[in-house]
Amino acid sequence: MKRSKLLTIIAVIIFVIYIFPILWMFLSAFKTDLEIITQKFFPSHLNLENYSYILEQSGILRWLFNSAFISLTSTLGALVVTVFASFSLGRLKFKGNTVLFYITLAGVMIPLQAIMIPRYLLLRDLNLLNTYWGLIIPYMVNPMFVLIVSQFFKGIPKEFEEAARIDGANDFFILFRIMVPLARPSLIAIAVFSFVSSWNDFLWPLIVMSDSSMYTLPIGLATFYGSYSMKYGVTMAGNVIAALPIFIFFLIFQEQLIQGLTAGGLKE
Amino acid sequence: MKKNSIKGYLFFLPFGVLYGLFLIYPLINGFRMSFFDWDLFGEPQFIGLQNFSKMFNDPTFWSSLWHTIYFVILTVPILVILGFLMALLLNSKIYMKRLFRMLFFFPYVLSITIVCSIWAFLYQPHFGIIDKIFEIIGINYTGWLLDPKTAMPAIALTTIWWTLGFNVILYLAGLQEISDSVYEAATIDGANSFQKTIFITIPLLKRTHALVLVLQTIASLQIFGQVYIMTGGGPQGSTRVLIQYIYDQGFRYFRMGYAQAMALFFFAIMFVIAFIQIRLTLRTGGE
Repeated sequence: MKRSKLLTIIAVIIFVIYIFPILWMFLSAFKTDLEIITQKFFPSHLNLENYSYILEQSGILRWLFNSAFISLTSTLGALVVTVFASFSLGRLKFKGNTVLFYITLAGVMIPLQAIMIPRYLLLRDLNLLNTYWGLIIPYMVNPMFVLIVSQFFKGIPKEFEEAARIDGANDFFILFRIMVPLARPSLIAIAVFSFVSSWNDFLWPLIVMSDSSMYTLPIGLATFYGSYSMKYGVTMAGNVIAALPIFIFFLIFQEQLIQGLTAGGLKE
Repeated sequence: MKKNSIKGYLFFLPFGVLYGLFLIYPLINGFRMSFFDWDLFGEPQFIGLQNFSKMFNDPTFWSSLWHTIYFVILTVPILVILGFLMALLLNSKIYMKRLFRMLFFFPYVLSITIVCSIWAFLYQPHFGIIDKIFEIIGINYTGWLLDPKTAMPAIALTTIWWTLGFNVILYLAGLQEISDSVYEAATIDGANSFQKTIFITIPLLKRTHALVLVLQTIASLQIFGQVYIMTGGGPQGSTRVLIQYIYDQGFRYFRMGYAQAMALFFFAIMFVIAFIQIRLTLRTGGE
C-alpha cells in the first residue's frame, strides 16, 4: 500500500492548528501575568507559581475527588442495573417483555433539560440535594445503555444457554458466567462512556450541588474561574490539572470509548 | 409461564424503579407543574394555560429560542461537512493514521469548563492570541465575546472545535463499512478519486449523513454550558439560549411553573427529532 506524503503533510498542518489551543493552555500555565499580557509565546522558565496558587486557593483536589468518586460509583451502579434489565429484555421470554422494551425505548426520547426542574424537586423531597447520591443515582439510569446491551445479549447463540441449563445452571449463573463475559466489549464501552459523561456533566451538578465542597470538577473550576477571571495563568494551570486524569483515562480506553459512541450513536 | 413473567419483571426491577422515579415521574410531574404558578416556597396556584399564553407573548422566550436556532444554524452544517471531510482525510493513505485520529478526538473528552476557559482566554481583548492573529492579517478587532454581533459565532467556533472529533468518529465508522471492491471496480472503469468520493462515498454514506445530522441537531439544540461559562447570556442578552432562559426562570427567579412550560416546549421539539434518531439507529440494529 502506497502512502501519500502530501496528504500526511496536510494532516500535520491541520493537526497543528487544531491542537494549538491545548498547546497554548500548557504553555500559559507556566507563564507569569506579565508574560501573558505581553503575549510571549514561550514562558521564560518553568514557573510553577500558577500551580501552587490553584492548589492552595481553590478546592481543586476536593473537586477531583468528588468527580472521581461520583463517576466511579455511578458507573458501577449503571453497569449492575443495566446488566439485569438487559438480561430481562434480551434473554427472558415473558408476557410484557415487548411492552418493557418500548417503555425503555421511550426513555431515550426524554431530554434531561426538559425534566430538570421536576427532578430537582424530587431530589429535594428525597433529601438528596447537595449529596453524592443526588448525582450518582440519576446517572445510573440510562435507557440507551439497556437497549445496547440487551441487543448484544440477544445476539448470543441459544446453544450456550441451553447447554448450561441442562447442566442445571440457574439464571444468575447464566447471566454472570455466560452473558456478561461474552458481552464484555459492549459492557466496557458503556462503562467508559458512562464514566466520561458523568465526569464531564455540567448542568446536573450545577443544579444539585450548592456547597462548594460538594462541587464536581467542572462546576468548581467554573465558579473559581468566574471570580478570578483575570488570572489566566492560574486558570490554565487549573485546566492542566483537571485535564490530566481524563487524558490518561483517554489514552487507556480510547478504543472502548469510540466503540461506545458509535454503538447506538450516543452524544451528550 | 407465570413463574417466567415474575422472573422477567424481577430482573427488570432495579432499572425499572430508577427509571420510573427519575425519568417518568419527573416528566408527568412536569406536565402538571406547567399549569401552576409556583415560587417553590408558597402554595402552588392553579392557573390553567396562563403559563403557555405568557410564554407565547414573552419576547425573551422568542429571542432565546431564536438564539438557540441561530446556534444550530452556525454549528450543524459546519460540524457535519467538516466532520465528513476530516474523516475522509483520516481514512486516506496517510502516515501515523492512528495518532491523528486519537489527537483529533481528544478535545471531545475535555470537560466544558476547560474548553470554554481556554477559548475565553484566546478571545481575550488586547492580549488574546486570536486578536494577534487577526492583527497580522491586518484586521484590528477586539472583544469577540463582548460584541453582540460576534459573541454567538465565537461560542459556535469553540463548540465546533470541541465536538468535531465525535462526528469524525461516526463518519470513520461509516467509511469502514464500504467495501474496497466497490472502489476497485470504479478504478477499473477509470474513475479518479474525486469522482469516487462524489459518486460512491457520499451516496453510500447516506445513513451516516442522516445519523450525524440528527445527533448534531439534538446536541446543538441543548446548548447551555458554553453560554453559561463564556458569556452568561450576554452581551445584551445576545447569547441567551432557551435552556439558559429556563434555568434562569426556574432556579434564579423561582418561576417554577413558567420555566416548566418552556421546558415542555423544548421537550416537544426534541421529541420529534429523537423519534427520527430512534428510527435511524434501530434500523441498524443498534450496533
